[in-house]
Amino acid sequence: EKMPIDLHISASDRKKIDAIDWLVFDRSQRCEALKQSNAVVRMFLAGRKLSAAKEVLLKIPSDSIDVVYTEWGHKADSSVPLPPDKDNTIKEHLCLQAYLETQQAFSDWFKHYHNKPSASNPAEPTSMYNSVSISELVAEELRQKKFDDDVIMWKDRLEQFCDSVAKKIYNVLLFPQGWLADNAEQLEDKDESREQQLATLREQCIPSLCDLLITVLTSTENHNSECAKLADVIASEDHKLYKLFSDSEGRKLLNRIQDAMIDTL
Amino acid sequence: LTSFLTAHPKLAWMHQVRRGKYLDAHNTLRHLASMETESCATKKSYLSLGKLATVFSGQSDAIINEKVEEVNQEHLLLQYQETLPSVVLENLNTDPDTMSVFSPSKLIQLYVGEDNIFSNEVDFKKAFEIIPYLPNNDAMETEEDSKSNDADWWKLFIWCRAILKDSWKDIDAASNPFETCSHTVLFKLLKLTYSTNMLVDILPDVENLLRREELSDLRHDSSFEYLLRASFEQVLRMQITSAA
Repeated sequence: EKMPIDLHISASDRKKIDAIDWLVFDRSQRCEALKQSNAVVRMFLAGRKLSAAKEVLLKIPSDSIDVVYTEWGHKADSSVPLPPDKDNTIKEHLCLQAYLETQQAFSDWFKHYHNKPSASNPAEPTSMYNSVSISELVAEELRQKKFDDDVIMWKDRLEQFCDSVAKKIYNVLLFPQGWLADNAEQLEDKDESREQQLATLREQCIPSLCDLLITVLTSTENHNSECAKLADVIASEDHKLYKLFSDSEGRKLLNRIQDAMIDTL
Repeated sequence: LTSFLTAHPKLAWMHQVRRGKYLDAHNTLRHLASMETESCATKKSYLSLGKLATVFSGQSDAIINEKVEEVNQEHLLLQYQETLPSVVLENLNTDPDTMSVFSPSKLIQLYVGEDNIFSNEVDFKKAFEIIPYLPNNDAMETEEDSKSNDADWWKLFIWCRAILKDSWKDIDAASNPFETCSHTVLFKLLKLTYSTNMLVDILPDVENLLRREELSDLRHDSSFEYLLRASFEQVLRMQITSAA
């Protein structure tokens, strides 16, 4: 298993990230700021620049959605719902956030996975008669006990990280009304290039998230059988995720699930 | 090897996936799903994997769509089971993760049965929706079996259960039942199935309905009989008018 590709941030990327500071300055422009930051994040994700995407989202104040609603409330009667473009902007922001959380959860799991306690070497006989002294035996026993405890703790923690990855990935896969799918159809000012980008990101990110989840489930003990649940989610007509896979991606997926399930027989 | 695998379908589909025989894997998985009775979740996964095997098989769209549609129908039946009210599952001492596979007739009984104490018109509508999944009665041999899979028999059964959800004492025969009885499950069910264009397929024969054993107490109540006849007749007329 390996970390997803994360290309480094170039000077021109840096300019785009820093520009967000200016956009969030004026509260009345917060929706526009979200719209612009969404566009920048989309571009970074398409270019496999996860850290850059994360930096952009970190620049968005956490109360931004409230601000958009409040600002809208100043303009319109509270009974008037947000116009479709604003509604879609907020949803997209939440989708992108949910996606970056999966990457963080995976990276936490990954680091921990590769930080397994290593077995200490058994004590070398030091006495001249080639035998181990009592104190050395006791020390060795303690070392062994500590090692066993460390392994148990490591496994528990790995399990927690695994559950967190699964939860975060399912948040994306089962995002209400579909991840990066607009809630309302925007009839005026249709932005076709944006729609195209969303579709491309869905096809790029969803299959790779499924792949990531299988990696985590099969590398964490006793989680192989959960791959069957993933198959249910992908095959479900509710979100029709299977339509986002190419034949070769889908076959790879089936093969990996099949591999995982052999171990559960 | 092939004959060994035929005897072990749980291994066979895996072998077929590995060899790139996706349509064979689909068929094996569908077979496994049809044999599965112990676990609803396992059956669902066999169907899901079978669906994915077809989707990525590289076959023509016509073949893929046909098989996907078949799996979707089977998934739908499992969904009726998955969405059983929790009180019903608790009474059966089971839960969505560990429950076995219930037959369509059992599902109907669970939706409209006594254990579903808070059952409402939606549960009864679901029971009607499960009827098409009952095994074809041509295949049944004994008379008892054929009765228990006869769609008309089940329709009457469900209507009876809906009627018995409410007490029908003190009916004002002069009033319009669609107003005075609008709180009853029966009338809510009539309204719901009418508005979803389902009623036309499930409307019972009132004579047969009144002949049902479960309604023997109510049958002798002339105002109830009048109410039932008048209501179904009115519904029938509405159907005809809307069809015309």
